[in-house]
Amino acid sequence: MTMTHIHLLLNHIPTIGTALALGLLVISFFRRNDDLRRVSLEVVYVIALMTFPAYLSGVSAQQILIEHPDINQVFVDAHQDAALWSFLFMQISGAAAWLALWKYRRTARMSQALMATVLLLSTLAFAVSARAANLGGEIRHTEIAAEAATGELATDPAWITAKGLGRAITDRVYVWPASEALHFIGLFLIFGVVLLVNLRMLGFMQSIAFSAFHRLLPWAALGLAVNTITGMIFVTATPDQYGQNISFLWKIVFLVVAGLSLLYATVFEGPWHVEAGKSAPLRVKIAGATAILSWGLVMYFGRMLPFLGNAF
Amino acid sequence: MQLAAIVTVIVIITSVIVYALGVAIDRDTEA
Repeated sequence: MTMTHIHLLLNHIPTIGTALALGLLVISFFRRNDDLRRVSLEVVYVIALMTFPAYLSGVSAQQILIEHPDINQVFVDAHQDAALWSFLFMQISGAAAWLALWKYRRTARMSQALMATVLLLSTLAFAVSARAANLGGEIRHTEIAAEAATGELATDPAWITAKGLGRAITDRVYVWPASEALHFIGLFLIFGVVLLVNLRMLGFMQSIAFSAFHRLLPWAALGLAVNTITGMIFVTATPDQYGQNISFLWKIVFLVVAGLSLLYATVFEGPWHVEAGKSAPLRVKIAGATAILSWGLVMYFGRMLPFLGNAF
Repeated sequence: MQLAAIVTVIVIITSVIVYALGVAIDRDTEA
């Protein structure tokens, strides 16, 4: 099995998942049901999280296809460009959904402005990812591509293509070192907060209620946003360093686990009701240990990119 | 030397933007 198989398995998630999330969001508006609103926001967040392996396995598949004589690279490039936009809108939708969930947990009131923002962003994300999916289908099914008849494909202006952005990054020598520095600042923000929150879930610092630690979570989310942007700068600039890198594959696997654990700490009832002086139930402790371990492994496999894998 | 200066300026400006975003979320939550 290669990463192409994984990509074929995961590539439907952003489009179908967002359609499902949109349906739930619309129904929750009409039913005025906060539980349904919460579930739809959770689905938006999880789909955004799963877009990481969907997009990045695509980068791997692209690396394999470069050597394939039967594949027209024009179709591959068009698909990747659309997928990059899809990834961007998915992540902004996911971030807005996370913020809405975090505020709901603290105030027990759903922010109408954030709900409307998520609905708008998810609609855009669906449209962009459906286009990416369609262009992806055309890689192997040129018979469905109208453009195939003429042998040409309408392409985006160079500066908004993945390759164009990659060149813009590598041509400017200061972008990579600045992004590395910011990636570490983001890492401190994430791990600093995540470690405190999950240590409390494990049973440390019992004199402080979990809700006080929960208050810190947006700083971790900001760190995650910084690292998503800087991480994508690295992958877009030098996809060959990450596409076939075993260390990067494991980093993304544990990023998904870590992202799910962040959702657990943000919205689930278990940790939220751990009051001052109380120890958390076993399931909350297991979640706390899983979170610390998975964030640790994200960092470990990131550091090991050149040693276990082929980067740099 | 020039590269280090440009990188430092980018990192500082981006950090200030991230800090401002964090403060904005903070104030919104406390309000």
